[in-house]
Amino acid sequence: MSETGSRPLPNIQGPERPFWEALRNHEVHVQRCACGHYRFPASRNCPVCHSADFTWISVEPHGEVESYCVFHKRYFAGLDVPYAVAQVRLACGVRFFANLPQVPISDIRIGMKVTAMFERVSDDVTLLQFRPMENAQ
Amino acid sequence: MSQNATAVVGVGTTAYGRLPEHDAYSLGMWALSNALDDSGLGFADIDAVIINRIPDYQRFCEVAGIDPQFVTITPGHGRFAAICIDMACALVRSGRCNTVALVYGNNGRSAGDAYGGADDSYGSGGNGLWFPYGMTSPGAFHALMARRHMQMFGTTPEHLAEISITFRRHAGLNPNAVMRSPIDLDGYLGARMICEPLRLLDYCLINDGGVALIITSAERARDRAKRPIYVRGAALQTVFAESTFPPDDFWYGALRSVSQRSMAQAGLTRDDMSALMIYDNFTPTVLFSLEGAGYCPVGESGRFVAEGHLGLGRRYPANTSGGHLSESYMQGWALNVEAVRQLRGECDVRQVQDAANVHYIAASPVCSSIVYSRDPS
Repeated sequence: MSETGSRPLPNIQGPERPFWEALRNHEVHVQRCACGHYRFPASRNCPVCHSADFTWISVEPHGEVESYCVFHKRYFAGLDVPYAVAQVRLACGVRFFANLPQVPISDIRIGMKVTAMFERVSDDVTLLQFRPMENAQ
Repeated sequence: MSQNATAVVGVGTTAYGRLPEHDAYSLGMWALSNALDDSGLGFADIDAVIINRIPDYQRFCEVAGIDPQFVTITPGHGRFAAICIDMACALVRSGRCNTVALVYGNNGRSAGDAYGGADDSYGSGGNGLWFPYGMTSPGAFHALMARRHMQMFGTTPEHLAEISITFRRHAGLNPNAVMRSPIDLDGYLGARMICEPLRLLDYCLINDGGVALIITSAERARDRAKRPIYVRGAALQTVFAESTFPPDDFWYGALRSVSQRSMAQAGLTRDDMSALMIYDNFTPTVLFSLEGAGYCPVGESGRFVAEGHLGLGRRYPANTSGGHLSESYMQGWALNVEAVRQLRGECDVRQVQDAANVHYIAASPVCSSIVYSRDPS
């Protein structure tokens, strides 16, 4: 984690390293099992078929907001409140928690169609965020 | 009565609140001493110990001066109250042990425990991956679920308020509850947002305290000081697949399964229940539990609670102690004690008249259901 006062940063050297590397190239990579099941966060074996045969693969970065919440209590010194966290499911079935930096909190809706945007927060770290499909380029 | 039925023969609780002069061992010993006094048993009668939340089982047994034949320790997650009780019953039923002491000690308030931020370990392996987005805390996880429930079924903040207000009213009748001042809808709505749509009064109370139960066979229970309270049914169901994220079905499938299995074991139905003890870490969990266990149809729980059914004197008085929201967050344990005390008729001004059966329900990644009865069959 980061020093006090700045945004918490992820461990980009852990099991999700290929995910974080792909984000720097503006792609969303998740694990796909030989059985066809997509998964994230990373795991050695597929929870569906238990195979250890997987590849990190680029997926269509479009999805839908399944739910969201708005933090009013501050848990991290580097993040100003209020801020919203959305639960987004991509078409491949994989889910993420992320922010919708371009969307005013009062405009967030369940069922909103969103697509990935890539927020560079340091030389090493780019975060996967989302924006409404309508604004997609 | 089944040949290998089990019963609670002793319950013990401490004061709750801010108790900085006690550590978790001291709180556990306080509760266990009370539970043993309550049962008329002594430390030497205990041949199995199940520890929850207290950091170390060896140190606990050392200070208790006991050397049981069986000991185990479980994580300080609220879902483990029912897991431990179910395990205790299995140990007794199998003949493996005679008298099980279940001991819970929590000094979270004095220790400054927070359920969110960099030390958050809630969920499937913790939320560290999501901290850069500010995602943290069990409260936020339940806020996401509550928002979806509102969207799908028209549940409102006023519905959540009813739960909080009702349990606070019950707490006002419980001298050991931490929060006893009445609240009204304005007070609920005016309380600060923590993680929208959840406000301060949708959250349980982190406190210090301890709880202990003594479980033995129904046969041994007959000789005890007080009326035994029978554990007529108990069932668990995990929901771990994709549990990094909230469950699409609000845990209904698992709640239905555990309710049906435990009721079938008990030979009872929901109609036989005199009161409910519902794991209320956050108000929405009560809604999911009512729907999953079948007390109202899926999607109807908001309107169901708004009709007042959970209040004392109504059809399904719930969390008559005040629950986690207003008595103290004793992670399921104190709700199980309240079930026993109601069935013994020890609850004074908050007593449910002629309480015969009480249903404990917990909605979480480990769903659980326990049916307690005054009568053995």
